[in-house]
This record gives sequence, C-alpha cells and structure tokens, in this order.
Amino acid sequence: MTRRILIVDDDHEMVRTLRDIFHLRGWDTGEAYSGEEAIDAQQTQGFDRVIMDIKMPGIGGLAARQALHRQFPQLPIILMTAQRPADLDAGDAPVIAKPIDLPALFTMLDS
Amino acid sequence: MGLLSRRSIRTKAPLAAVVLILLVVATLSTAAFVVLRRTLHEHAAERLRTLSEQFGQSFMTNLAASRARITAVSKRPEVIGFLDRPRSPAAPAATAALAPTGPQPEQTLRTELRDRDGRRLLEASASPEAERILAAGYDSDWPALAAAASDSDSGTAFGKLKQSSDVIFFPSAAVVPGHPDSYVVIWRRLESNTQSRAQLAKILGSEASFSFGNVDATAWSESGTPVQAPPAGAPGQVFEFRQAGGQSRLGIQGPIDGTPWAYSLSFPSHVVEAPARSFMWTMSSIAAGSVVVGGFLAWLVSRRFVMPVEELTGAADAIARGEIGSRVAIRREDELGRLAGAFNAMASEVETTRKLLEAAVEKGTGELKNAQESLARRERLAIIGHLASSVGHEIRNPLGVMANAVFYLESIQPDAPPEVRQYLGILRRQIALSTKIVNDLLDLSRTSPTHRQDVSVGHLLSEQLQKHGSRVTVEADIPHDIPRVAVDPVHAGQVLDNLLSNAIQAINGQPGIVRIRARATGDGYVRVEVSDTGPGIPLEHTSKIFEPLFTTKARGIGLGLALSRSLAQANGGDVALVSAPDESATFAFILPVAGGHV
Repeated sequence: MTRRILIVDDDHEMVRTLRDIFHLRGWDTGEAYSGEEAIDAQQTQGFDRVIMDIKMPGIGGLAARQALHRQFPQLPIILMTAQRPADLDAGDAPVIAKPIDLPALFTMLDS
Repeated sequence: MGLLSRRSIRTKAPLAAVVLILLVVATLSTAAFVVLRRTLHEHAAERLRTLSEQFGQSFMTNLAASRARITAVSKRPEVIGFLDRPRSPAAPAATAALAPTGPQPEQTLRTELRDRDGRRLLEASASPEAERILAAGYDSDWPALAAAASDSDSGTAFGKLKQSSDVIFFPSAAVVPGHPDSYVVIWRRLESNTQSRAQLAKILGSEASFSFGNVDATAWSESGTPVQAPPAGAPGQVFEFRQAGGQSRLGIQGPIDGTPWAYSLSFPSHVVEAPARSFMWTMSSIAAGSVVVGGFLAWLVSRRFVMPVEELTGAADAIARGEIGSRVAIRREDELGRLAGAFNAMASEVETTRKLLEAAVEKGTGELKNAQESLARRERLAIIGHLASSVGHEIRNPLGVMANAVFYLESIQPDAPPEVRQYLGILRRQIALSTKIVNDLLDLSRTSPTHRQDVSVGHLLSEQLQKHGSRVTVEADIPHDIPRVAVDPVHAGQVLDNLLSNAIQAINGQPGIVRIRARATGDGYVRVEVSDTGPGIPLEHTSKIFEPLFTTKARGIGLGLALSRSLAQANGGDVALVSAPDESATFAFILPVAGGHV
C-alpha cells in the first residue's frame, strides 16, 4: 500500500522539490501552502504523515500542528524550520532544520 | 595684633628682644639715675652746708673788721672833744677825723656824726656822686639802727641794705663813748669785687652764686650788684628752687647774726646732676649697643629656629601643590630635627597611600573599562546576532530548496556524465558551506538562557575532538583528577569547537600539532589551553581578534573569537590570548569549577 504524505510550506518551490523527491521514493503526496489548508487537506484526504514548515502566513506551523494533533492524535507530524530547532518550543514533535538532511529524513520516516 | 600676628617670627623675636633689652636698661638706668641723683643732691647739700659755714665765718670776720673800724672812728679824741664842747672851734678837726680809713675808702659814701633823733651834727667826704645816691628817703630806718647800736654789746649795728638805681649801700652806726645819744654813721656802697668773685668761682664753680640782702627781701646783692631776692627757705636747710629765668637751683640760706641781713648760697641743679646726666648718656649708649647686638643675636637665633620651620612649610606647600616627593633635609637632632623626621615619615605615608589609591583607581578604571567593553561587545554581538538571525532564516529557505533540487537531480541522473555529477557535487558542497556559514551566524542569535551544569572537562573535549576527526595530530594533556566545571555544555562545546577550528586552520595543512592542556588554577577555575604550531598572531592584531567582524581569514566573517569570549563570559569564565605576538598561538579558556567555589 502506497504511503501518503502531506507537504505543507508557503514556499511553492520547496513544496515542489519535496514532492518530486517523495515521488522518487514511491510516496503519494498532498500539497498545502498554509496551516489552514493543511488542516483542511488532512480532514478531507487523511494522510499517513505530515511534513510542515513552521513559519507560514496565517496560523503558522506550530498552531496547525496543535490543531491536527488534537484531531488526529496518532498522526506523525514532522516540523521544518529555517531557524535553529533548539530555539523553538515545539513540544514533543520532531523538528528538522532546513536545508533538510534528506537521507536522515527518510530514515526517520521509515522507522 | 593682627598686623603683628602676620609678621614672621624672624622679625618678632628680635623685636621682642629689643623691647626687653630697652625695658631692662630703662628700668635699671632710671633706678640708678634716681639713686645717683639723690646721692649727688646729698653731696651737694653737704657741700653747701660746709661752704655756708665757711662763708658765714668769713663774713663774720669782715663784719668784725667793719665794727672795729667804726668803733675806732667813734673813739677819736677829735670827735669826743667836739661832743664835749659843742659849737667849739674843734668842729673842722672832728670832721677831718671822720674821713674814711681802712681798705677801699672809695666805697665809703659818707661819714656822719648824729644825735639820737638823726640830726647830722657833722659829716665828711660827701662827694657829688654820694649826695646823688643818698637822696631823700634813704634814711627811713634810722630809729631802728640807732636802737640796735645802743642795745648791742659792742655799741655798733648795721642797717638794712638800700638800693639807689644800680648801687647797693648800707649804713653802719656806732655809739660814741661817753655820749650815749651820739652816733658815728658810715654809709658804704657795695662794690663788685672781681677778686672775691674769682675766689668764689674757684670754690663753688663758675655757676655758683653767693648773695646776701635784707631778711625782708627789700634789697639783695650779689657781688655788689642788685639782684632779685631768692625765694626764702628754712634757715640752714638745703632746698631746691626755681629761679626767675626758669633755672632750677640748689641752695641754702640763713640769717647773718647781728645784722638785718641774710645770705644765700646756691648753684644750678644741672651742675649738681651733671654726673647723673653723664651716667644717663653712658647708659643710653650702652642701651643702644645692647639693642643692636641683642637684636642681631635674637635675629640669628630666631633664624636658626625659623629656617627649618620655613623649610617644612615649603615642603608642605610643595606636597599640597602635588609635588608628592618633597622632603626636608634633617640636619639636627633636637625637637625641630625630630619634627622634620616626623614630617618626612608623614609625607612618605601620604605618598604611599596616594600611590595605592591611584593604583586602586587605575585598577577600578581598568575593570570598569573591561566591563564596558564586554558590555559593548555583547550589545554589538546581539545586534549582529539579531540581523544574522533574520538574514539566516531567509537564506536557509532558498538553500533548502537548492539542496532539494541537487538531491533530486543526483537521484534521477545516476548515470549522468561525470562532468554533470562533478558539477552537482560542487553545488552540493557550496550549499553545505553556505549552510555552515548561516548556521554559525544563527549561533549568534542565541537567545536561550545559559543552562549551567556540572560537567566533565574531559568529556567536553573528547566530544569536540571526535567532531574534528583526525585531520591533525592532537596532543591532549588532561589530568584525570581535573575538577568538574559548571558551564552550559552546549556553550562550552561551541567555544572549544571554535578554538580547535582556529588552531587547525592556523596549521593550514602543514605538518603540525595541536596541544590541549587542562589544569586547575587553584583559585576556583580550570584553565584549558589550546596551542598550535602555526605562525602566531601579529602584534597589530592582538588587540582586535576578539572584536566582532574582525578576521584575517580569506573566508569567515570574524565572529568566532568574539562569540567564544561572549559565551565564556556568560558562563562565568573567559577566553584570552596568552602567547606573545608572532609566536605560535596559545588561547586559554577559563571555566569556573563546579561546587560553588566561585
């Protein structure tokens, strides 16, 4: 069964490159460009995983992650940031820094 | 007093000495003068008394001679014969017998024969001048003279002195024997007698005067010249009186027995007091001499006392002006010498204290400057960090997209030509390098508080050494009993990472060694030294290497050491360059020991 991941970032090229890489790795992908869109997409399409940028217009990644977590407690969500991950208070959610160490990301997703 | 208090002791002491000398000399001189004057007066009085006795005797002798002469005239037979037979032809012979005899006959004005009532029975030698002198009214005292002659044992008497213009004359009378109502009367004038005056001057001195006159002061004579009667004094007593001319004189007076006369013997007080005056002059000279000599000696002595005091004052003034090294020379061992010693000791103490104070101020200023610089550096770092954070965040996104793109291309083109793969590799590495630079920049935006923990120095170091791998030879000298430190392990790791990176870069691929040496300082710190074998840091850079944005590297933004020092200080430690300029560099990282030692 093909795994499905929702890619959320306000940077369209970031979303596009990640989408293509995930496709190469055999994932189905969904795309969202804001926190609101991400919640909407998850509610309507029900992805297995979410990878979401933190700094976005609107409610932002951290608030969207909290909302999703309340509705889908089992849904694994990975946050991305251009800031230093250590400086963020993201609760127990894993946070990865941009540029993304992709081999490490796939290892994380496989586990 | 105010004026005097401002004067120097150098002036005051001689002045006081002079005043003292003057007081002493004046008191002693006055006392001596008074005693001397009294003694001189006593001597003079004694002399006057003796002289007056001698004069009295000589006078009495003269009077006796006069008495004898008039008695002789009264006893002449021609005179008695005329009286026995009045109106006889014996009158011319009797008149001739009345002619003056004895010494100085020219002094006899007229010789008369009188009865009790004063009628002139006969008279002789009446010259025209004598007649002029014996003018009317000269004879008013006749009854008293006649009575005195009749009552006296010798039958003779002298009348009061009379004055007619400048001539002094007097009568003498003698009772004719056998004719108690008849008298021989001789009028004599007093002549100035230069011989007796010279004699007098010889005995008394030229200023002396001897005079006599009527007891009732109606006429008075000095050597035959009319004079004013001197003031009356007690008979035989020496007394001082003031003459009409204002001259003070010392004199003695007394009545002349058997006559209506009194004598006066005197000389000027200034003659008497001349030795006393001479004494005063001498004393004045001595006083003047004493004042000069005493004043000079006092000046010398006061100078000897005042000079060290002035020297002290000068030194104190100099110190007050800031010449803190001023001292006085100690040339004596008395109280002034000890004062100079005490002054020098005090000045040394002041100098030492001032130096200590200056050192303390300098140290305090230095510390304040360091604190200010540290604060300024941190503020600058904070601003740079804030900027770096914003820029870094914005750059990381495109870097992320680029990295994704390269990853995608490498993934879909495993069989691409070598050039394509090489160029993709170049892109990947440059993206990684850019990422590192941005990460370093983002480290400056650290806003998280310092979380100090009890950590092992050895553990911190081995973590960093693993990270840097085996690109260079590293010699680590870390005693196993080195104390644990209280720092944020992430921060301390960053500092060590930076120091090691710098050391490795300094060696720059040449054969070389990086040495790490850790020691407890003994006062609550651990000191980790990181040395390399590179060329070291030039002198002109040593003061700037901890400044943000200073770098000598072709690549780098010059934040490593600034950041390291900022992090170390935030953890209660420091980072410093401890090697000399142009020698292989050694940096020391100071960390506080765990357990509250600091």
